[in-house]
Amino acid sequence: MTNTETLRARVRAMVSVAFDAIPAVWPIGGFIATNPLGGLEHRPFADAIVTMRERTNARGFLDESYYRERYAAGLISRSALEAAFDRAASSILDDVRVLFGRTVSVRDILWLSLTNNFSHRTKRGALDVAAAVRVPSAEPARVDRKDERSSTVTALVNERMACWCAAFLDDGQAAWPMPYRELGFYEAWRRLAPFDTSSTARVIPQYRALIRKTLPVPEDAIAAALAGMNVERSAWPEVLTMHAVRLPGWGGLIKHRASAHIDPVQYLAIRLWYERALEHVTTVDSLPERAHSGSTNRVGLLANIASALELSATEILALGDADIQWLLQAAEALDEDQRGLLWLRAHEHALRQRLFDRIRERSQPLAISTRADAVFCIDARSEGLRRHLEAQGPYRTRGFAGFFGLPIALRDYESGTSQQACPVLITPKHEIEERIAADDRNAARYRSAREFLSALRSMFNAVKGNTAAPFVLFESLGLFFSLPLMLRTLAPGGFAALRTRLFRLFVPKVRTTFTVDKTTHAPEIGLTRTEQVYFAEAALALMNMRYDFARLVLFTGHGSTTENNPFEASLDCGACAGYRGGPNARILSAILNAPEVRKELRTRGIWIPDTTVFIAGEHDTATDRVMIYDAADVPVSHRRELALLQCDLAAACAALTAERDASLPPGDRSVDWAQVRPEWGLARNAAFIIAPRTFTEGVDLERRAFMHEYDVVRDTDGALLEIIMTAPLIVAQWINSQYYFATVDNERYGSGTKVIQNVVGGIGVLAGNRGDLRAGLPIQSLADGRGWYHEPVRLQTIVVAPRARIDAVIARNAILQRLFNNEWILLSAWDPDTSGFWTYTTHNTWRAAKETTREPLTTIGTPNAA
Amino acid sequence: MFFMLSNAYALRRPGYLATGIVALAFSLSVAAFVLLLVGGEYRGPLFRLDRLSGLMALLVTGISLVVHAFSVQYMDGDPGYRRFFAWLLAVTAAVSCMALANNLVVFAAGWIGTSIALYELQVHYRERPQALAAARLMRRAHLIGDVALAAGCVVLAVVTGQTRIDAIATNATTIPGLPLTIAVALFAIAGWSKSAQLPLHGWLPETLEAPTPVSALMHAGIVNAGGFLLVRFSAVVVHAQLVTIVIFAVGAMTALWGNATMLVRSDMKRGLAYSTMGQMGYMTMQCGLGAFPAAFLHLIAHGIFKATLFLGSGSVVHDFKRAQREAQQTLRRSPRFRAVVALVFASATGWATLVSPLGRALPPYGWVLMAFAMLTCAQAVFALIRRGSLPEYIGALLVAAALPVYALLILWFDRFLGNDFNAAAIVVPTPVVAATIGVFTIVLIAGWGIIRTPQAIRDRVYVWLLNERLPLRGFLQ
Repeated sequence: MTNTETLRARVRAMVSVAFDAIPAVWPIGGFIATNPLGGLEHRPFADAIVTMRERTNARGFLDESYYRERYAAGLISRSALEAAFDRAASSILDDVRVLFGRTVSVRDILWLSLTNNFSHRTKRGALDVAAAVRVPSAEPARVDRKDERSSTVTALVNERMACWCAAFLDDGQAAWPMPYRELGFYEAWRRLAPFDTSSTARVIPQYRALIRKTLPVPEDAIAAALAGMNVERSAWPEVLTMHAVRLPGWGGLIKHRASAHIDPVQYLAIRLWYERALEHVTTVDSLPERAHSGSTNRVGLLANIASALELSATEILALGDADIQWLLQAAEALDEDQRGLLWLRAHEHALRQRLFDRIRERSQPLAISTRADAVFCIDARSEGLRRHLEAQGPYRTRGFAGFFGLPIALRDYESGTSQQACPVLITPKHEIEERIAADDRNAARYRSAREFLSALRSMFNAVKGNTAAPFVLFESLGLFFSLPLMLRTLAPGGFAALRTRLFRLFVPKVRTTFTVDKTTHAPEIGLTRTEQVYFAEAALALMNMRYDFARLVLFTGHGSTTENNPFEASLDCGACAGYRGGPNARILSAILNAPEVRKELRTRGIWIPDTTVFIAGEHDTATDRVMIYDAADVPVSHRRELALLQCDLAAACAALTAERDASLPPGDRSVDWAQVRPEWGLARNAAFIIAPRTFTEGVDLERRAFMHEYDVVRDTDGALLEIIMTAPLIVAQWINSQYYFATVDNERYGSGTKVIQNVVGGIGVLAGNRGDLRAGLPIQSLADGRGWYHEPVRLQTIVVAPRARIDAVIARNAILQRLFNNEWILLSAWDPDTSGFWTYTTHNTWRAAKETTREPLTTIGTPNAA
Repeated sequence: MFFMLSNAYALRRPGYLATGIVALAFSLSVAAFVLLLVGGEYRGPLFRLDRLSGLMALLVTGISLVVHAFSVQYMDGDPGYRRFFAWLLAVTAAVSCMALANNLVVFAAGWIGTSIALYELQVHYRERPQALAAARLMRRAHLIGDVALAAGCVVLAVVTGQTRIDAIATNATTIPGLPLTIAVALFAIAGWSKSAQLPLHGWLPETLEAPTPVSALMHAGIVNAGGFLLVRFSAVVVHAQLVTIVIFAVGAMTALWGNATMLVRSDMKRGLAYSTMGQMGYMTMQCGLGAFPAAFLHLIAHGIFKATLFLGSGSVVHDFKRAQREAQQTLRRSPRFRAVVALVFASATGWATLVSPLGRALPPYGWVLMAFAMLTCAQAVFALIRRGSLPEYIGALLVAAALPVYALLILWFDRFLGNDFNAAAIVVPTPVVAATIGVFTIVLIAGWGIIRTPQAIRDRVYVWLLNERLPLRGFLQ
């Protein structure tokens, strides 16, 4: 290997490590939740937050006032706060002083500073004056001019990078796409940048000469830029990381898309070129100096401490300098992040206690005959539907990952394009095609109507996307838009109904089927019998269904119907790669209805009675309706049961709607194009319960818990538990982290307010005019005008299994050790051997959870109780 | 950031209240328009209700009603909810005032009030430095326009001794040439600033820092104020022949620049903003031609269309896969042949329409509008027959049949608006008009990808457009 090649390989490796600092970003059409701090999961949660604060000034916890309000409202109990306090304060040396005859300890003052709002400044007259006299004035902190200059350079570089990325990564929104895209990002940029006349290009001295001298290989360009800026070889990784995190949205998308076309190396090569070219630019240096005063806050702090200790103004004046220093230091003994972590733990502790109490106090359901089995996605929104369905009659419900164990891609009957229909952790190895049923009489009419509409639309788009053609188009068609515009806004429900009716007149509904079996003419599509049996067996084992099947078994996927919503995929099924889950449910029920598959399964110990029929449905989480697929195919013998099930589902849905209505805006949410909050999605998710349904049946979990069916008795070797903990639990943790971080710092980890968002490239959104691709959840998904709806807590996992069994699973999986030992997920167990709750601390040690004394408030927490 | 309040309805009360007020205003506009059609015009010292102002009031209050009703849900939970609706109401009132004015003072007050209220809506998110910077850019451009408008009004008032707009219009022929030219030039500048015409165009694409409904209202009811101004004062404008030529040229350049820049935008809202700029350019061009009724029709139709596109801009993700798929659809070979067919088809139908009695009934500028209609028709036919999946020529026939219908539309609107708004002849020299149409035709065909353009030119133009910068160093920015 030559020297250059070694260097290139090293640069590539360093860039790859640098990009570990940001999570991959998926295009918005298949919104995939990820942990924004995913690259730091090998370190403790609290450390990761400190690192991010240092790197990007991001917050890791909500403001203390949020927790303090919940404490005042009783949602965080005193015992929970004390427990968290003891844990945090254990690291502090407890010192005691006697002031005016009163014994005061550091911990006392710290406690006071937590429970009283010390940062809040209220005028207390004499006390303030006295405090002002006694607080030594600190040197005003100066902002480094070099920092300010470099932040201006960063802004210029970010602007250029965002512009090129938006042009290159466009999936087809621009009528005139960027030239030379086929040559890759770096090369395309090299060819176009010489014509750049932007303000950034103009401030670079000898821009044209410089740009023509760029090196053809991006790795070399990175090395040259770093060397040109006199960066020590040892500091390269750090500098590269710094640049990788500057535009986490575009960077994350490039990380996801990484290929020869565009990858982090090409991205950083361009970025560093600008950085170096702007290095000696002086015109941006004329920024005013700013000074911050550090002493005013401490005056308020001292006045607040004095007030909490009931000291008078004269007493403050009488205090010695050493005592004042001591008081201030005591109140500041924990820094902002430590205090945040303390409050977070108290919040989580309180929540966990209430959850345990509810489960302990549940009334055991009576075991009676089963009307039907119903399997739902583990999604927290399924919990509500399951609870209400069980209230309608003797239904056995189960939780299972919403892709129903099928590692497949689905080929659409309209486009012929394929998309993943299983979690992104899995690469689909099989493809199944959805087709219009051969015997459907409407098929021909459907196809020609579709073709006609498509011709119309493409003609319209072609006229719109031209320089000279759109003028008369707007002039002649505009008036026809007036009535729909009015109707759509003033009566969204009526407009949607009318539109659907008109559409159906023209484009008939068609029935579809899936090519589950392999066929001779398209051997790449479908599953062999062996594969079908294999997937069916695994799915049934994980659902804990082996021989006790009811006559009807319903598989329910879920999806969400919303209008004018770029984030619609974030409301669909996370286990189906951000698409609707209905097709997967249909495919699995088709497999299990096949007599040959059942026969094969019997030899493997799964006994499906001939009288059992599997049916598929889809739960629309925006409208709360459950659609049953292929009801006409259900044998006559089962029609009565099906009718009963549909009745009960309708009643359950109505009850669920009533429950959800309390927290959502009124109106036709799913069809209203003005609706920014069609449903709450997975907001308030807090727990993941791996247990048989009997463990939680009858408990109102407020749609806050992911639930996976699991029976330790039938899982002797822990293999099933291992699958659940390493797949669905990980996906749930991504979702939980996504919500957590988008709440604590929406500007950095979320995508801000929807109302100024601007869809770019068909792949994501910008906030306002330009800038970084905004990857996370919008604020409307997390809060309403009344405050945060989502409660940012880490995922509380409860497993019903002996502790030793769980330890064994953790010991086998490095990823679980990382997540549990670093407290990215909180783990508890209900140990059947001891009949009690245990919480996992770290490194395979468990602590018995105390039975709590009754707290005054026992709800799991309503966000607006204050 | 978010206030704690008990009831979701209580939070939305300002929204419902403001929407109620605008609904009332819209109902009044409808009633007034019906009365106008039945009873006839009203001319008072301050306000005037004729077909022009009646239609403009309908458009403004109608769009405003949609925007208000939309915002009730859309802005739900926003910390500045109440302030938002207050300014939304204010801007509606100001534009309506301008629309109905029959007095220079009232008109100017409405015009300037619009600038002020719009600025407040632009800085709705004051904590965002980008929003402040964009709003300042807009304020600078609007300030030039506001000063120009006020100065133009003063000139008119001084030379005519009148402040009533209808009186000024009736006596337009008696106004001495130089003051009239100055006044119209000042009005043109005012119009360019509001309608984002070169060189005062830069503010418009930067306004995406405001909530979507503000964009909808602005693109549908405010940026076209420049066109409304020229139409309202058309009786005066037609006498400043030199200025109308400049108006035509500025409009044509802006139309080209706006639409070309739109092509390379990969983000939705900015593409829409440049499309508006282009459309306003076309409207201004129509004013320069003396095609005032057509300009007014364009302003209304574009407004309704653009409001729909802005409010629905979030659905692009949902529609995207289908659009992508259609873009990839296999196209038939020999695009050149099909291009020729499309051009021949469109021009044949267009000429046939022009020489027919319908065409001869059109006002003097009719042939220019028909030329642009032929371009649109050619593009539609080309897109259709390139797909080749339909019984294509039947489809093409249907599209071509739209040309006489379009002629009918402009003829009808011309008659509807009344005779006050028509220039006797086109002032802009015919070769200039023809050359302009020629340029647009070349650009149209260039978009079909059948002519080989030198790479250096293509790349240079692409980067100019991508950077949204005119290739003039520093001058017009």
